[in-house]
Amino acid sequence: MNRLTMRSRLPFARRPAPTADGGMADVCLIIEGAYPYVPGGVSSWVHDLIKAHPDLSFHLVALVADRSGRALKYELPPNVRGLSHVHLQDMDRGSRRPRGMRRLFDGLREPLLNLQRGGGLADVARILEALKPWTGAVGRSALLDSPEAWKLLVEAYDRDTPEGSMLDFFWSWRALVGGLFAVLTAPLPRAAIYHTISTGYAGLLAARAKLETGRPTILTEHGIYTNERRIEIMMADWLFDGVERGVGLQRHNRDLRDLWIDTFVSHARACYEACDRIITLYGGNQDLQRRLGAPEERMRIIPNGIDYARFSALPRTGGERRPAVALIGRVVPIKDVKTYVQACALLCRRLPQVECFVLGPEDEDPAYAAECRKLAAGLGLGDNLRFAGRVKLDDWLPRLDAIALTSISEAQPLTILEAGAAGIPTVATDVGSCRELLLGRPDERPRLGPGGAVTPLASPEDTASELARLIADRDWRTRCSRAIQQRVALYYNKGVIDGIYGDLYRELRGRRMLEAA
Amino acid sequence: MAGASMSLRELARRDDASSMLLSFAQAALVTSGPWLMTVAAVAAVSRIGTGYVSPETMAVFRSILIYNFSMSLVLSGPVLLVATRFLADSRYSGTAGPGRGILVCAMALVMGLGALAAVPFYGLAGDMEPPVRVAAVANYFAVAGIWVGALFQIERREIRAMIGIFAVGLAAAVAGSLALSAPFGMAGLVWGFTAGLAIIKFALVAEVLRRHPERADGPAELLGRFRPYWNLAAAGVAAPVAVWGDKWVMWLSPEGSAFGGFMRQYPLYDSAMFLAFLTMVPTITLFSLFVKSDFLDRYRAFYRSIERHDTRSQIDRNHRLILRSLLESGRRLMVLQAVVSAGVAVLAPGIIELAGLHYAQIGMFRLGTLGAGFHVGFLCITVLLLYFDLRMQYLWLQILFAVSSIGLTAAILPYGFATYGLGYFLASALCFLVALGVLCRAVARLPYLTFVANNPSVR
Repeated sequence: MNRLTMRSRLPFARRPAPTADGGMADVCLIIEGAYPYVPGGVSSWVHDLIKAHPDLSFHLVALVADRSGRALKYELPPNVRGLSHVHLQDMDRGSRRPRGMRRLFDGLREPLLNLQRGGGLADVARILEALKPWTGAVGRSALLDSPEAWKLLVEAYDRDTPEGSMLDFFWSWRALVGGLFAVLTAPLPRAAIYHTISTGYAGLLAARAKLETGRPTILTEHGIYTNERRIEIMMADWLFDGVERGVGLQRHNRDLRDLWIDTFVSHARACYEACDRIITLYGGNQDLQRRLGAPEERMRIIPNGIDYARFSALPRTGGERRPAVALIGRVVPIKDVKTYVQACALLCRRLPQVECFVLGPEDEDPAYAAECRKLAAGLGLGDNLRFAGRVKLDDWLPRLDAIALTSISEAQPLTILEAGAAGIPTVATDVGSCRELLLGRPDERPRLGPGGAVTPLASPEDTASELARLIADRDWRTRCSRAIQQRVALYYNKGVIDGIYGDLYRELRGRRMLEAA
Repeated sequence: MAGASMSLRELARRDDASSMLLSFAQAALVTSGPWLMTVAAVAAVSRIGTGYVSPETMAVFRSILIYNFSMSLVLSGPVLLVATRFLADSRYSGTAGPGRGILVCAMALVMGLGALAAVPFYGLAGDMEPPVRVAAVANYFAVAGIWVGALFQIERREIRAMIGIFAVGLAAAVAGSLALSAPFGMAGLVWGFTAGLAIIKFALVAEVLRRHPERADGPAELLGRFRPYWNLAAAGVAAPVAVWGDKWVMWLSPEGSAFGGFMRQYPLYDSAMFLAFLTMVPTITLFSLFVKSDFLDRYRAFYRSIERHDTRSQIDRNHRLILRSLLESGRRLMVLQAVVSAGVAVLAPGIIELAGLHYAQIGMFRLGTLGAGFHVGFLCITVLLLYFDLRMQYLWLQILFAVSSIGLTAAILPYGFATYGLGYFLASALCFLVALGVLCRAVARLPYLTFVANNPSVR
């Protein structure tokens, strides 16, 4: 972790200026684990959203794990007037022993336990109500470390996972409930609209904002948070699976994985119930949202937009250069870079002249990045595969012939759109909206044709085969290139998308002002 | 001590009377042997030496020893406790033993602090002859060095070695002091005894070096442990003050005298109290025998159960076993101490006569005996608190004992001779009850303390 703080020597580390009206921003953006500290598709989207609306003032709330110093990865636009943090695993201590702890926990018990088993907005409201008399007084000492908190933890353990590891339940509880309390006790910035970029803890903060202020609240979901967490939890080897299930078909006891997943589902439900608009990028996501209880009448699709003019103007280099493919993205497990590495090995065996690249930062998960490099070396890829780190896309897109995306989970990858605007087809796994982007939405008229190919998850053979086809078959590549470029121009042009959000902000503010009058 | 516990446990499990007696004797040797032998050596010198030097000279000699034991414990206490904890942490983490490094650093600290205290104390105060002052300072360094050397736990085989070292050293001390007292008077008395103590010190150090052949890397590592374990360091001062506080107050009583021109003492009180302290030996021995073996099993089972990712019911079961072990052992210890204290108090006149003390000391001896009964309970409880890493509670209790011992002794002093010892008794009783309450509360909430309140990962 880069330990530079906001006041670092980085040229774009700028303290946001205060708002003109003394503290109330037009829009409070609530972001978890992304902008402005983690580069990526979602962060770029947030950055572009802010820049696209210079007439609006923004306050950012970044939900981070702890208080360690972080370097800004983006130069904050001048209309960002505030940046505050919620430290999910490092909330303030608060008073050591405030009065009335028993009464506080009597009020917290039921809604807190409900939130671990499919609760919703009503439980969040009850928790806020219970905390209200102790505003500013309670913190970690009372809510997590007190004997009353321990008693509640034990009660939750006995109810939910009596046959599981007490030690693992203890740490899981502290992580989940600690994050919840950090969100519900942190200072809430004043804003006319609260806009969260995910459910999870950010969504909880948005739900709290709705309950406490009554102001309009928007959710834009890129990937479905609960789905992504579900994948991570199922893959987690640190979750000790000690529950004995026996040979019975019926499961009697939950385990820690259930606890984690159900808690995040509750948080998502609370956010859906609170938000006035529930936006996502494509239709497939809406199915998941509906299943989690999102009200139909508030749901809407607003896809990602990219700067079509900029990317379509990039020149294509050709001639004597070697054919080149790249995976553009962070080197992290959810991008399944290892499948791509294996696909490159197969591709290079068929077409030895091909150059393969990984274009993306490696500092988010250095251990995983090291494993990918080791795999590449072990497969004998040598110079055929290069890890180039974080790059400027404008410099690289002109020299690429195809993009590969082997992610386990995606929403609407900007990579496919940006490369597509530059006329570069993509081979992507069938996750998120990749099928829609590459093959067109069911209602696309006229049908533009495929802009690449869609493969199953974790299938290096299919990925290699489709990349090889794009490289070797010039006609096929040309057809795909034209199709994806047209599709991006028609449906994913940023200028149009920005206008939609601007209208939405104005609509909700206007409605609020009417209500206030 | 861990190795000693292993052997004690094996002996204690055998069901015959002889093995029980054997295990009791071994436990007594382990816990009290060096202290008893030292007291015996001083008594021997006092008895035999009166034929060689005057009673006043002998009184100054005893004063020097008592002051050096007292000062060295207070000044070395912080270093010893922190170093003990460092050794325990290293053993637990399985890191290569930093034995030599700790030895070098601890010895340097103790000697350095001693130089700052003992040199001005003997050098600038009183009207001692210069050779006697030098001898007294050398004696201080020998005593302080023994604390450091004895710090390192000696495994079962080396218990015999340790007892042997003390026996040889103290025999040499007695012989040396008697041999040198005739030609050289006071200086010879002190130097002779110091030579024997020095034999003990260097033999213990050699034993440490033999068992830790690695280079003395990282002596400064010990210095870095004072900050996180500041409460242990503070308790290292408070604990000896708690033990000596009442005596220091009594040294300033109207009945106290100055020896060597400046060292105040009250021999009647001191000797009565030291004799009363002997009544602690059976309980300390039994504590070592039963609690440190049976209790240690339950204690380890509890913490292993958590590390093994056991369920709460399994952890609770191990918790209840600790409670049961403490209750059963505590009951046995209290009964034993009650019998010993009551019996000694009743038989006090005969014991005083047998020990060659003055009949006027009977009252203080009785109060001292009753106080020692509570004091040993306090000691056992505070040791258990350290097992549970309740360092702040340990510190506060030691401070309470120190303050109450000094305060009550001083408060009762004006009420005259008949009440001497009452301050110590009341302080012991009070602190025992408070410590018992602290222990009961802590052990009842052990899972909460382990997971949350005393968990450094959570703080």
